[in-house]
Amino acid sequence: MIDIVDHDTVERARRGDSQALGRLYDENHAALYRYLWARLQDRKLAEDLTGDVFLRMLEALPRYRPSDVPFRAWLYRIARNLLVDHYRKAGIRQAVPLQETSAGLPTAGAPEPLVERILTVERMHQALACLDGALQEVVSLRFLAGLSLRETAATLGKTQAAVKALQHRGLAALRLAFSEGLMNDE
Amino acid sequence: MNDDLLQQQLARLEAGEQFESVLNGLPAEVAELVRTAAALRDLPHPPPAAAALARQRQRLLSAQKGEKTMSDSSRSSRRRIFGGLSLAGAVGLLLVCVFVALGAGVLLFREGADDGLVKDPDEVMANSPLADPFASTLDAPDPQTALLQGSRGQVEIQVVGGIWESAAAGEMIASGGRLRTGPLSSATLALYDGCLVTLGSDTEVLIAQLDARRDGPRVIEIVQVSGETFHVVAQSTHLASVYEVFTPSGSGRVQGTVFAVTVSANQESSFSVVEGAVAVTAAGETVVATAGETTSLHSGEPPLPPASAFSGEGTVTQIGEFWIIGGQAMLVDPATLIVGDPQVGDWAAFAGRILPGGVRVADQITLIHFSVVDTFSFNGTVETISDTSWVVSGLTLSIVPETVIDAEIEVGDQVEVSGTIAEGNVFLAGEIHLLDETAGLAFNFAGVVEAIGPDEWVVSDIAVAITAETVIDPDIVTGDVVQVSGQILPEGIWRAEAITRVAESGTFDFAGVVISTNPWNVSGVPFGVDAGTQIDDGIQTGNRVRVRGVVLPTGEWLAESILQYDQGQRHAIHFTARVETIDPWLIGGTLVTVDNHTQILGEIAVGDLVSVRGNLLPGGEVVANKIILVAADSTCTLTVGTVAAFDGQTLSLLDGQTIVLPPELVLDVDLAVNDTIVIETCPDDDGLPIITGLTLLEEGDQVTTDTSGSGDQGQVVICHIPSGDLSRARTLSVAASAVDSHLAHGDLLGPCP
Repeated sequence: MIDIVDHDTVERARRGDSQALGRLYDENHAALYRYLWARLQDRKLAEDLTGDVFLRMLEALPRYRPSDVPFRAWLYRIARNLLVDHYRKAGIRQAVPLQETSAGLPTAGAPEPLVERILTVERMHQALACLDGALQEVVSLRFLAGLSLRETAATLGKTQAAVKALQHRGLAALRLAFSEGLMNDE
Repeated sequence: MNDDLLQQQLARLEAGEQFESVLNGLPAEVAELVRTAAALRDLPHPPPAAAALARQRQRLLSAQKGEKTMSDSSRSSRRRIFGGLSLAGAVGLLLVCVFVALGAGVLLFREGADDGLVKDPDEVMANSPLADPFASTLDAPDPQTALLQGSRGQVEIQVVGGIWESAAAGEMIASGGRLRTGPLSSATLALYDGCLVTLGSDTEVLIAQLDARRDGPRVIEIVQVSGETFHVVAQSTHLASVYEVFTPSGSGRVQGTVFAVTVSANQESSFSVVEGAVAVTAAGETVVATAGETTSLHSGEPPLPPASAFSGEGTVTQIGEFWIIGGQAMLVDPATLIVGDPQVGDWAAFAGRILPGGVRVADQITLIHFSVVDTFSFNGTVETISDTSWVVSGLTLSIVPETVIDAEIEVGDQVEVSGTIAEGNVFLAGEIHLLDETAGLAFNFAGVVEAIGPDEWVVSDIAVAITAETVIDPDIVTGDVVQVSGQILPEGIWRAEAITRVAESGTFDFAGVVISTNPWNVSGVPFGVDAGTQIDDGIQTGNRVRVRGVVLPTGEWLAESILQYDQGQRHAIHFTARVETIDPWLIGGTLVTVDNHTQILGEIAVGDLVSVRGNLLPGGEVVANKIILVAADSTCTLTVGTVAAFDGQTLSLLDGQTIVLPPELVLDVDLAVNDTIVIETCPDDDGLPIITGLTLLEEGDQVTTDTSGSGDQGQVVICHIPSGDLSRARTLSVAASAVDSHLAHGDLLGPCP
C-alpha cells in the first residue's frame, strides 16, 4: 500500500489525463472497496459505492489542494461522506450473514480448520461491527484501508494524538469483544 | 501502557518489519493489541466482481471525457444521483456552487459589503465555515428535472398530487412540484442548464414550468409563495429564453443574472439584484432593476422605482420607527423583516434600499450578537454560598432568582461563572456551572430535528447519541426546533442528556477540541466567526475550547465567543466593560492590576469599551494579561426626531425638546413641520455637548425628486459640497427657494457624480 500518492498523477488526472485517472483508480479501488465492504458488509453495495466515490472524486478534483490534505485522506473523506449519507438513508445496518463474511476465504484445505477459520473471521467482523462509531472508523481506516496515522487523522478531521488514542482503545475493545465472542461460543 | 508505544509497534509492522520481530520483548498487553491489528490487516473479504470493476473503471473514464453517466448507487436507487457530470461542466458548476453556497443569504443579507455586491468567491470560501471541499456537488439529469443539490435543516418536497415529504440532497423535483424549508433551514436546487435556486428559511416555491435546456430556449417559471430565494441564472444565448419568478405581488424576468427575491408575511415582495438586471412587472407596469438595486412590490400596485441597496452590520444604538445601526439611520416599516429581536447594544446586520431623496428603508435586520458590554465569565473555586451572594475565588457574586445554578455545588467545587456587571459594579451571576472534567465536554445547542432514530438523532447536521437516560420532550417530530444538551465523549460521540422543544431561536454552547481554526471546526462542528467574535489568544488545533454563539436563519452557526476551556488552576477571568479610570485601571467597577506582563492593545482612553483577559488571584484580585480595545468611546450621539416648529434658529421637536441651533451650523436643508431629522451632538474641547450636524431623514410630505435639477414640485436635487470638500459631497433634495443660497456656497445643481 503506497503511503504517498504521486502528486503528479493527481495533477495530471485533474487536467483530464485519462491514463492518470485510471492509475488513481487502479491504485486505490481495492483498499477502498475493502474499507467500504467492512463498513457495509454488503458486497454489491460496497461495489456500487466504490464506483460512486471515484465519480465524486472526479467532480471534486478541481478543488483538491495537496497542501491541505493527503490525497488518500481526501479520497476516504469522500468515501466516509457517502457512507454517512447511506447510513442516514438506510437506517440501521442489517445483520451480517455468515456466507458474506466467509466469501473471501479459500475453499481448499482440511474441512475442520477451514470451518474454524470461517468462525474466527465471522467473530472478528462481528466484533468490529460492535465497536462504537469513532473507534470503528479509526480501526477500519488504519487496519483495513491501510491508511497511515496522518492520513487517518486527516480523513476524520482529528489530531494524530486523538487517532492514536482511538486506535488503542479500538484495538483493545476489539480484542475484548472478540474474546467474549469466543467465550460465548464455548 | 500508552498510545505512543502501541503506535511505535504498529509503525514497525507497517514498515514491513517481521511480525515476530515486532512482538519480541513487548509487554503481553501491547503484543495482544499488535496481534489484533495484524489479524485485521489480514482479514479476508469477499472480492468484488471483476466485471463490475471493469464497468466501474470505464464509467469513470467516460465521465472524465464528458460522457453523461449515472452513478452506480443511483442504478439501485433511482432517486439519488452522485456525480456523473462532465469535467468541464463540473468545473463550471463547482464555481457556481461555491458562489451560491457561500453567497446566498449570507453575502446578500449578512456579510454586508457596503456596495451590496458579492465578494470574491475564493476569498469567501477561504473564510467560510462552509468551506468544505467535500460538499455535495450534484447535477440535474435532464432539462425537465431539478435536483436538490444541498439541504440543511427541515426541507420537504411535494410532487403533483402528493403530500409533503421530507427531502434530502440528491432528490429531484419536476414541473408542478413544490419545495419548502422550515426554520433555520435552507435548500439549493440545481437545474440542468446550470441555474441554481437557493431557498432560505421558511420559504416555499412552486416549480410551475421547468425546461432548462441548454441547446434551445429555456422556460423556467417559479412561483415564490413565501420567504426568500437567491437565484444564479446562467446566461442563455436564446432570446426566447424565459426565467421568471412570480410572487403574490408581481414577477421578475431575467436573461442571465444573480438576484434575490423576498416575500414577506403580508405578501409584499422585493427583488434585489446582485449582477445583471431584472425586469420586474406588477399591475401592468415594468421597471428594470440593475446590479446593486432593489425594487419593492405592494399588492395591486406597480413596482416602486428601483433604488440602491445598502447593507452592513454594527451596534444597534436606537430602535423604533427609525433604527440606527452602526451609525446608519434607517426607516423600519411594517414590511421590514426583523430576525432575532435585536435590542440597543446588540450587534445586528441590516439590508435595505435608499429611496429617492436619500431615505434609507430597512428590508431586513438580523440579530448577530447580543451586547457584549459589561459581561464576564471565569472559572474559579467556590468559597462561600448563601441565598443572595456567593464568593468564587475571592470575587463576590450577586445571586438573583433567575441565576441558573447547577445542583449539588458545594464549597470547594470548581465552577464556571458567567453573567453581567450591573449598576453599582455588582457582578450579577447569570449562570454557575459545576466543572466536571471527568464526564466529558458539555454541549448545548438549538437546532432543527432532521432525523429521529432509536439510537441516534440528527439535529442541524449534528448526530447525537440517544441513551435510555436521555430525557426527551414528548411528541417531537422531524422539523421541530429543539434544544439539545449533553456531553461530548472522548471518542467524539455527542451523547444527548436532554432534548427539549423550544421556540424558534437558535443558540449553541458547547465545549470541544479544536480541529481547525481557518475555517473554524471544533469537535467536528464547523462554524463561522466575524469581527465581533471574542476569541482567546493562542488557541491552536488540539486545544479544548468552549464555543458559544447563534444559529443564523440560514442554519449556519456563528460563534460569539471561543474561549479556552481548561486554564489549569490559573482561574482565568474574561470580561468586557468600559474604562472608568486609567492608572489605576478601573474597568466596569473592577480594579484591574496592570503589570509589566500586561499587553495593552489599542490606544485606550477613559470611556472606551475594552475586553479584559487575565487571572483571578486568591482574594479576588484581577491581574490583566491583556486589555483589548473593543470600541472607542463614541461620545457623539445621534437623535432622531420630528420637527414641530422651526424659526430658522430654534427647533422644536414633537417629543417636546427645544433645540437652539448654533449659528456656525450650516443647514443643508430647509426644515418644515413634520420633517424627520437626525441631530448629531458631540462634545466640544471643553467636553460640553454641541450640535455638530443635522440631516433630513424624511420629509413630512411625500418627497419628489427631480434628477434633472429643475423640480416641478418645489424640490431640486443638488450636490452639496460641505466646506468645498469634494470627498464629503452628497446628493440632497432641497426646496427650490433654497437653491440660490446653496449655489452661493459652492454647491452644484444636480446629483453628485
